[in-house]
Amino acid sequence: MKLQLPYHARKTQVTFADKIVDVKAYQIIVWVSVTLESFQDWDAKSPRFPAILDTGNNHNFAITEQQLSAWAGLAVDSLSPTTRIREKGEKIQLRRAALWLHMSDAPFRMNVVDGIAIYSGNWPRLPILGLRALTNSKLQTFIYGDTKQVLIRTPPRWYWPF
Amino acid sequence: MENTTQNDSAVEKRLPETPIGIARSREAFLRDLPELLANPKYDRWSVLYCGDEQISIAESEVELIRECNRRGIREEDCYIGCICPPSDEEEEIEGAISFVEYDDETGAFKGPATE
Repeated sequence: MKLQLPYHARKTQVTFADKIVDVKAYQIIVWVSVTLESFQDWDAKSPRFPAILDTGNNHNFAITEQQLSAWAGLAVDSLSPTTRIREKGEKIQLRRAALWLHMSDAPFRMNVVDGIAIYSGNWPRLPILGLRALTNSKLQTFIYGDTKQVLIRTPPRWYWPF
Repeated sequence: MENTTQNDSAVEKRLPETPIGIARSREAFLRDLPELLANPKYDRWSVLYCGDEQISIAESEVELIRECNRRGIREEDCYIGCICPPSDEEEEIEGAISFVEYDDETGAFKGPATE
């Protein structure tokens, strides 16, 4: 499975459902869905929404309660709490969920069994996909600065022998 | 039994919002994690605990959710952990609060404090 997408050196916008959100220059946007953890298979009715790919985020996925409700259609209490994390003195609850990354061919279920971070305020402006989710899902991520493209893929089953 | 009660009480204090079944299962996962990490085959696989018992290990959590359904294990009674190096009880992270955006138009950084 793979996903190839562009990013831009200028401000752009993305639209989804009836919403338009700004994307700042040099922000990499991926499309995701959040469902209950108990969903074993992808449900095509699950809404998809944008998230910023941020390798500086050292957790799985960050989303506000408001985005979870309005964009993913899930009440925060519908996701079981697991542990907590701390950030700048604040305690943030982790909750169990299934996180789907929309690849070119089909949605890919990411390994976020540690939980996703639900923030109570109005930040981050857009959900954030962190490096832990990419790593624990064993995805390969390439950023091509020359063409302003990003490639995310599952590892190939074989490599050239050189 | 008394030990279990004391342990539960300690866990409840540390993770007040977490159902005790999840917290207790996580404790068992953390107890066994060093042994699981010793086997490279299980690198970043998922493991299911229900209470003190390790139920199953699988490459994907979906297999473990199926196992829960098959056995009738409720979500609040189990924990699925990722076999990767453990983090602190309340790990300090750099996530969304640390996240700032540079706005080319205003020439300013925006973060949660400026929102």
